[in-house]
Amino acid sequence: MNLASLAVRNIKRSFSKYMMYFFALSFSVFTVHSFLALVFNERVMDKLTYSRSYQMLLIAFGIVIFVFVSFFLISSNVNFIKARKKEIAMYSLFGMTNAKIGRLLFTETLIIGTAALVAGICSGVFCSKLTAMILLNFTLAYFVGDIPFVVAPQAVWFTAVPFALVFMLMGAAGRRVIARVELVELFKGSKLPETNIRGSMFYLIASLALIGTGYYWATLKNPAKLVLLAIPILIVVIAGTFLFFWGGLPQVLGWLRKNRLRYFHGENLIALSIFGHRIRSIGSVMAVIAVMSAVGVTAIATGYTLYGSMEASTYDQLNFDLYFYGGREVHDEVHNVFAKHGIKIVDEYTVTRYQVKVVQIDPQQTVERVFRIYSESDYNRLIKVSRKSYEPVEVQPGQGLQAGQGVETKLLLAGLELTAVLRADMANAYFGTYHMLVLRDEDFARLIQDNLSEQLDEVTVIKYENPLRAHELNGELNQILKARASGYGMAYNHYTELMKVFGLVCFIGSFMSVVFILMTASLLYFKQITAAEEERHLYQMLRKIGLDARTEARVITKRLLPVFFLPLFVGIVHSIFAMKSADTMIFRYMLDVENTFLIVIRFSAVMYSIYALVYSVFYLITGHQYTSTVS
Amino acid sequence: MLETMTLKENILLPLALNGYSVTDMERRLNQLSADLGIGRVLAKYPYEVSGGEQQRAAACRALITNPKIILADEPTGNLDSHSGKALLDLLSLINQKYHTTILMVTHDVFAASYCHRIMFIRDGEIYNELYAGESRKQFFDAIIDVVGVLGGEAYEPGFPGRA
Repeated sequence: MNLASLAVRNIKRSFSKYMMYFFALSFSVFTVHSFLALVFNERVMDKLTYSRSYQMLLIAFGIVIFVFVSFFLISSNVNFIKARKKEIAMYSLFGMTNAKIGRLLFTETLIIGTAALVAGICSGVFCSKLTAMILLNFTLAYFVGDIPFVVAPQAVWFTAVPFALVFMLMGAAGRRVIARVELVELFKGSKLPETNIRGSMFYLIASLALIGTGYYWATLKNPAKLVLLAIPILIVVIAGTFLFFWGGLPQVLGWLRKNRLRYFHGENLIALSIFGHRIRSIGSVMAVIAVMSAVGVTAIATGYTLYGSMEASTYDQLNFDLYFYGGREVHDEVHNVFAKHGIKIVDEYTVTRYQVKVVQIDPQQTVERVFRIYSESDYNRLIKVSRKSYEPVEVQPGQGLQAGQGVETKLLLAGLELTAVLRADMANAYFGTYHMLVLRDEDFARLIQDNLSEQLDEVTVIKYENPLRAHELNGELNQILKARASGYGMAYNHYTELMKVFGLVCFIGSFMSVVFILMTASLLYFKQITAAEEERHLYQMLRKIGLDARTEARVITKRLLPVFFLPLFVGIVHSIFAMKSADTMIFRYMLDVENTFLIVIRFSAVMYSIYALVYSVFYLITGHQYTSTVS
Repeated sequence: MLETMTLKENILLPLALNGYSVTDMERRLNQLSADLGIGRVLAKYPYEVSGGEQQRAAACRALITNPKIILADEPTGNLDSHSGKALLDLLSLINQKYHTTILMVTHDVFAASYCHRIMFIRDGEIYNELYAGESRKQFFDAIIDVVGVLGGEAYEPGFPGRA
């Protein structure tokens, strides 16, 4: 039997163990290839012509992903080999030299690596059209139709070569693991090499203080200060997280162990003591993963919130799907375009624009301004066409309503003296001026009748179906209105602008988080499988003194649960505060509502749930593997 | 002994697994650990105490459930003579104080001499039986005789020890 056939037999025999490993490898290949395929897809790049720097952004991001993926691969490989210490010791005992074992592992890595490379690239090519479409859909509001399926040879090439190198590196790393350990040590693979560490109150307090400081800074209300503090916040929170998992968590475990009533309950005792024993090695991993989860989950939550709030932000600026002023002819032409594209108009209202010169007196100054005026019933009809839900207003005698916030002022217009009341919950319908006033129907009628105001042309507002996606219709409307109307506004145009700025950021954010989630979760998986191998004898002993299967299952749950969900929890809490800063710096200016943070948290919660779901799946897989290893 | 737990936790484990109340557990533990002389090291981990103390703790764990019988398979097998004797003294103490039956399998004549009754097994069958007398020295000699015969290739009827 030669080394290659031995390697193949090994893989066949413990297929499930290699399966996870294989998936991790192929997923990494898939990720990098998908990315490169985007960068090298000329059609995609053509579509993104509005900014060449976007390609650079993609490439830079590709490099980050690659570095990340390599780190993940090498560390999971080392864990994988550690989990097989005993098997390796067996080979050694039967007279295989270290060099030979090294070659065996190297061959195995190459076999799996090649398979993973093929699988990853094939699935990457297979999905390349899909990822390209998703990217374009994300970033281009006006993107319609199809891009052809292409295989970018450079993408395949630039994926295959670096990965082949990384796999070789992994194989070599495996050889180093073997070369460095003695035969005896390999057999001791089943003993727990660690000692209990006792936590320290100082660490716990210091870590909480550091994290607390970071959180406090993150909730500051002044965006300028926040920008300056961004790096310090990162430093203190990351340092605090590490201190917590190194020294603070053992201290907390110590307290739990002091609570006799709960602690001396069979499964708690076993699970806590094993977990406590592991804390030294798992602590760092948990800290790294907490930080990475925080970054990943924040990235995706930011992306998703940006993306989700783009529509809201569009209508905050515009209120209506479409408005234009330019007379009857334009009006008819617009209607023709709608008919041509078969898109239904949901609601429509045309109103004549009037403006009037007003003397506005407030405590500081008296100024003359031009106001757009509406009657109460016109205004109430107008807001029905809006995409935002405004309440109809009722104007009190002697008053006029203005949209906005501020103190009441006195208005003198054409012999009428009114108090201007500012209302934040009113739509602005300026259509060509900076000020708008809603009058009682009687007041308005008198102004018109007595010819005291200046009459302009009519404005038409239209609400129609699918306003942000009807690309062809909007394109044609743009052409006509640009040429013919004296003024117009379209939600679609605002939306497209926002998409250009934020679409790619969102895409990269989501892509990165997906990579982060899967890598961190599978890192935990490999770590725990190694641990299972080392903890097997504990369970054997426990079974001898009366551990039944049901209690064992509960012990395993309690042993593994904190490993997965503590970092996740810490990561999510970190992220909530990060989102708070993001809210202060970005979202507050994008969204026009009282409490933007509520909306941000609502969007983020969706992503937090998805993150938690993925972790749960990995937790279940790990639990299954762990159980079958120790029993 | 599980290396992830202190001696106390190790000892209480069987009780904890069976859902005893904490006060009940501690009452038993305090008495037993005092008797076995490990009261002072209960809070330490197995790797922090001596081999003898580990043995005592293991015995303590066996006794904590108040067993009627303890099965000991070559208990002195991997101990030096000093700790072997200490363990046997401990087993005797348990036997006297708690009236626990101890069923021990051993090849060690010295260990066997601590027993009240010995059954010799040869090739799966009971070959001989001895009861302890007044003096352990005499009992020891009697055992040696039987073992001598047992180990020999041939034996004659009427040789001492043959029942």
